[in-house]
Amino acid sequence: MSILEVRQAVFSYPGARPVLDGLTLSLEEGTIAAILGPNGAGKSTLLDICLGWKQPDRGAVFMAGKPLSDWSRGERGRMISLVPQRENVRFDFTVTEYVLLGRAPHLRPLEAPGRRDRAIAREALIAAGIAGLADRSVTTLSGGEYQLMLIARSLAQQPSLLLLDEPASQLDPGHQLRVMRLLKKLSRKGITVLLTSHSPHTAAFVADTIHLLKAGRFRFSGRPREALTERNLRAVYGVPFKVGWNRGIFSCTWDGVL
Amino acid sequence: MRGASASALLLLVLLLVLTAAGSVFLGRYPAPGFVSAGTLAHDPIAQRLVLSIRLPRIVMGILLGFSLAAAGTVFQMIFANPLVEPGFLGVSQGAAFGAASTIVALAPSPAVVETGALLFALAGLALSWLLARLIRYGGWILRLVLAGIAVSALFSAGIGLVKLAADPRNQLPEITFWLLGGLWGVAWRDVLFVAPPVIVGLAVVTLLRWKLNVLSLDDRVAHALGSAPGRERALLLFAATMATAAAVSVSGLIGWAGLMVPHAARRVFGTDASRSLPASLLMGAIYILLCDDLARTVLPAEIPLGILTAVIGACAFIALMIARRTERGG
Amino acid sequence: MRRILLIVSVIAGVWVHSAFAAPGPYSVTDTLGRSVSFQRIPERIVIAGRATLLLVDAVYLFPGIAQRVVGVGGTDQGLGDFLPLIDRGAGAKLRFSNSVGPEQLAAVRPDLVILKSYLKAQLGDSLEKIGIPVLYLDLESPEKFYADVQTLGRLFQQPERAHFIQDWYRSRVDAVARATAAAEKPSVLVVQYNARDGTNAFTVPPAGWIQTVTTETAGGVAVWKDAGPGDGWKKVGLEQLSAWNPRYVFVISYGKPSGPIAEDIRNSGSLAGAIAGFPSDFYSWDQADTRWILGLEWMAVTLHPELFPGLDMRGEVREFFTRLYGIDESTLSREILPRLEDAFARR
Repeated sequence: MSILEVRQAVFSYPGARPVLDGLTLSLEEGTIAAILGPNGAGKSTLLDICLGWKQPDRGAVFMAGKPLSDWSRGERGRMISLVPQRENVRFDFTVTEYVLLGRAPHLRPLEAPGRRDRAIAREALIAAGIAGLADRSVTTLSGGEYQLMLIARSLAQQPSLLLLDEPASQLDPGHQLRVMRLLKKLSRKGITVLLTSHSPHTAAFVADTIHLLKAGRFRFSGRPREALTERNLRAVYGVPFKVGWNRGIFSCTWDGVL
Repeated sequence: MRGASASALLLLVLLLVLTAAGSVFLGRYPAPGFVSAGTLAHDPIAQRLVLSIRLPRIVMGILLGFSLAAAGTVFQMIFANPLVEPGFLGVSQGAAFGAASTIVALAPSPAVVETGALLFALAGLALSWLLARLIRYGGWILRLVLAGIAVSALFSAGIGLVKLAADPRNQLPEITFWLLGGLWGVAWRDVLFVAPPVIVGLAVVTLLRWKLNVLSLDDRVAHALGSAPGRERALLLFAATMATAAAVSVSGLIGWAGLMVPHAARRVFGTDASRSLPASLLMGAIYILLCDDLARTVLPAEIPLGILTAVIGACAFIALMIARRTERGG
Repeated sequence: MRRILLIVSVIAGVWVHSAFAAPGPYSVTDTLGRSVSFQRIPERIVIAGRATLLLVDAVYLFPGIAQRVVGVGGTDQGLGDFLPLIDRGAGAKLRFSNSVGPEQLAAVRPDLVILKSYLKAQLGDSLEKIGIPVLYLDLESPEKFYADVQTLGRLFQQPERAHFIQDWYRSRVDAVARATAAAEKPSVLVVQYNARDGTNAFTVPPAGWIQTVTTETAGGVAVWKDAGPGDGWKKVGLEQLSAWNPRYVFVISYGKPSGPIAEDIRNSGSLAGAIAGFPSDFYSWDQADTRWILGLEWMAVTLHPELFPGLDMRGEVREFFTRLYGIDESTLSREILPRLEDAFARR
């Protein structure tokens, strides 16, 4: 069952060429999809459109078969969650307080989080593996801890669809692995995941489907083995690659001498 | 960092009650200091003094402290800036301009002056808002800040013009006293004038205090969490401003309370607005009451309240900045 | 026969006594039209707030009042404190600042507070709420002055004195007005000069103030009347002053002797016309203080000396302070006359 569908979306910023030019995407429930593409290809914009934060100039987004605009804010918030790449933190909330913010769509307008919400937030911290940071101030976290906290906040939101904007970009390889494992665990529980990345490695490791985005459209879509060929990567990134599959683990480097 | 618990909030409530009670007995009659219960029981002048002069002043001080501190918290969280004061969107200068104009142009009856101040305070906010929509660059925060600065500057210039036309024997001192801020001459009628907008505004802000946390996040994230950040922020800003404008129209410009008290509240109670906002409210009221007690007791003449809150507030600010652990502000 | 004499003298005594006895309750209407009632003449009067020197000088026109006044605001405009000259007990009186609060005044337990009319909202209302009677005076024009003198006369139960004062002023004003009615009126500029804050500033009073009335009555044309709207002193530049080109320039200085300032302006050559300092003993004679009558006479005799051959300013000053304030000759010669040599010098 398709949990999210983008049909022929066209989007351009004022006075610029279209960033998305007739893009179509369908997410199957419980799968992990990764979008790869060069910088400025429109990956973040695509996430904004999936989130309902930006409206496509043409085309539409459908959530569980209904147009996204037909869902109320609260319903959308309970279904879709975003883990941004970066966030401006201006106040020193505690990690727990910050994760609790994820409960917002489940609360009535004047309601504040209650005991059940706190329990859910605690579970989210445990699932993300950062239960020990519960009382720390968010301004004292390292980049990796911070990313895990953002994921915990999204987990507290209990979404059906999790959007992640370049989740691995700020992380060291150890933390990258932790995040990817967590995403796999979520997918097994039935949560759909859509992530963007400019790292073919992480995409290959975690995704069921990979979409290669270039010039506003998906050039190639498919399982990692099919999508991540030297020809495709060269077409998307514009540089030659050397690709290898070693016992099911993907690796690629640039081809040629510097 | 764990904030202080809910019982600490109760302690603040108790402190406020005690301060208010003490303020009732404090003054310059019959001598500088506390009036004894015996005197109060037997002296009709003392009784009338307490009922008609001190009590309305104390209630007004509490409402003022509530408004400035709560509004300060709201503004600082929404603008993610520890240096904003509730009046900076043209509200303070608008109120001052409104008061000055009515003092000079019409008979300076207090009700007229207050109405003029309130109208122009809200006009200042409206102008800032409209102007921000016309600005073409920068994020919405930057637009509002720029618009607020511009509108405040215009009103400030207007005040200068009004002062030039004012009669220096009675109108100019009145304007100056209004600009310096003070609660002298506050009557029950003023309290009744101010109470409804203050109570409504503060009710809105207090009920939505947890939402304030969500609204302090990036727009996109707030949206993802199911908020309509633009609309909800507008509602909170308007409610906070309404309370502030009403209080300020009677008391004149009182600075620093809206800046300092939210900082102190966050320091002690944590950033979570569901605690720091009520704490701000209570601390603000206590602060204003204490300053006003000084203003009317220390010297035979009235010290303008705004001067005291500025001096004490600035010193506290300096102390806060020098203190070892600094808050990471915007 | 003796018995009849006894009865008649008893009756006469009672009648005489009742005529001089303390009056019963009475009420007074002040400048704001408010009626204030009194059981007896107030014995603890406070004159406070702003512009108290105007109020004090008006109140002390009535003899025997000094001991009823327990506290006053400022009576020193910068040239010295005038109060000790009219009140022997000045040193024992309570002094208040301009922005005194109602509680502080209440602590003195006054039975009457006299205030300037514009302090009603700021101070008067609070006092009334506590139950302290307040009386408002205006004094800012001759007509208001006469009305306020009547009010004070009624307050102190001295109607004859009030009439005496009013006649004193009225007769002098009428004499001056009559004499100058047909005369050719020279242009006059009354200007304040402030050499503070670096820049030299000339300011003129608004058209509605007493300076305009006295100048015109004294037979001059008040050139500054069209200086623009507004209720306060207005800055004017040298260009405007030259454009007016007044024949006479009277320089006011509050708080400093005006003679040297007039001298400076004369020497600087920036203004044509005859430049003189407005006389001031403790207070300048231009403002709405009781001395306005002296200011009027001085202007009349300066502008039209030939119309007032018998007007001797020294004599007028002597009469003013001795008859209206009961100041004795030695104090007058010691404290007041030396400050006025400039004023007499033009004669």
